[in-house]
Parts: sequence; C-alpha cells; structure tokens
Amino acid sequence: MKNTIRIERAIKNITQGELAELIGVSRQTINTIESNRYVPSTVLALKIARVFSKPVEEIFILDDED
Amino acid sequence: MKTRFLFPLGARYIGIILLVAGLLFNFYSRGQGNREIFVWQHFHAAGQSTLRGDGSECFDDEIQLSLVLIGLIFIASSKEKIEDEHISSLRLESLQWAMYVNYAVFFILIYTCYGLSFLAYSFYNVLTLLVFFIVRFRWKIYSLNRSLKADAA
Repeated sequence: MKNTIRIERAIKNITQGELAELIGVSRQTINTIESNRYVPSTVLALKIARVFSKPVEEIFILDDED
Repeated sequence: MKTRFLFPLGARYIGIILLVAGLLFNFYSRGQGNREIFVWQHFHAAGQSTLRGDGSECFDDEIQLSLVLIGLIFIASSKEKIEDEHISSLRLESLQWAMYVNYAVFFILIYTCYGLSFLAYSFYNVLTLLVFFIVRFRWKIYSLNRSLKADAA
C-alpha cells in the first residue's frame, strides 16, 4: 500500500510531529506509515484523511503486491 | 487509543527498582557465611517435607523471586509515553517472537542438558520469556527512535 501523506503534509504545511499530535499517535508511527513500514488501521487511516479533508482512497492507494 | 491490561508509564520505573532489589538481594544471599534475613521460626507448613530440622523456614528466596517476577512484569507491561496502535502491534509481535525464542532454547536444552542443570534452567525458563520479550520490545522501540533521527538528519 502506498500513501501520499508526505505530499499532503507539504500542501498543508505541517510536520510529522504536528500531524501525529492532531490524530493522537507518536511521531514514530507517522514516520513509519509515511515510509510504508507500517500499515495503519482503518480508524487511523480515516483520521489521517480527515486532517487533510480528503477521502481515504486519495491518501492510501493499493499496491500491486496487495 | 484505549489500551487494556497495561500498567501506567511509572510502573516501568517501579519495576526496574524491584528487579534490581531482587537481583541484589539474591547476589547478597549467594555470598559467604550465614546470610539469611527473613527466617520464620516454628514454621509449620502442612504437607511440606523440605523444612529444615529446627522447624524454621527461610523466605529469602521466595522474596527474591517475587521481586524479580513482579519487576519483570511491571517492566514488560507498562505503557509507552504515547501508546498507539503501532506500539501495540510491536508489543504483540515481540511477545510472539519471545515465545518462539524461549521454547527454541528450551527445546535445544532438552537434548543438550541433563539432570540438575536441566532442572536449574527449567527454573529460569519461567522468567526468560519475559526477559526475551523485554529485550526484543525495547530493541524495537530503540530502532524506531533511531530511524526517526536518521530520517530527520
């Protein structure tokens, strides 16, 4: 699964730490999600999408391997 | 995120103190001379055959094991500063890993260790699951923090 969090963060101009604080997780978790080392739960994915005011499919995209 | 069955963050520090106290007490007891502290005179335990001739019982080893066990459980089951689902998944994964390692070691010892030494390890085997879990989980948290620093640099 790929994601566009890094791009969305750049558009909204917020850091990993600020995003982490907005959704109540650690900065490490945002970092691992961004670098595709951790797949978030549906709840967390929806929370991230809500921060960027976009549907979840625009932020998380299925990969060929999925 | 709601977490169940975990102690607050401070429990880890209490756990470290209890563990160190238990280990130091054990180290002290192994020294030369009569070093028994908690001795119960005229102890009559029903069905016990291991009591010493004078009817007393030394509770030092029971106290040491309790301190070490409670200490390890506190360290293993205390919350992180920010407890989220990623930490939870690392916790579960580490527990599974620790279980495999623990029983792999035990399995090897079935064939390589006999008699009293096997019995001695069986005793430690009660605690090694927690030790393996703590080592693996802390290592994972450490690597996570290190990768974050590497990305920031």
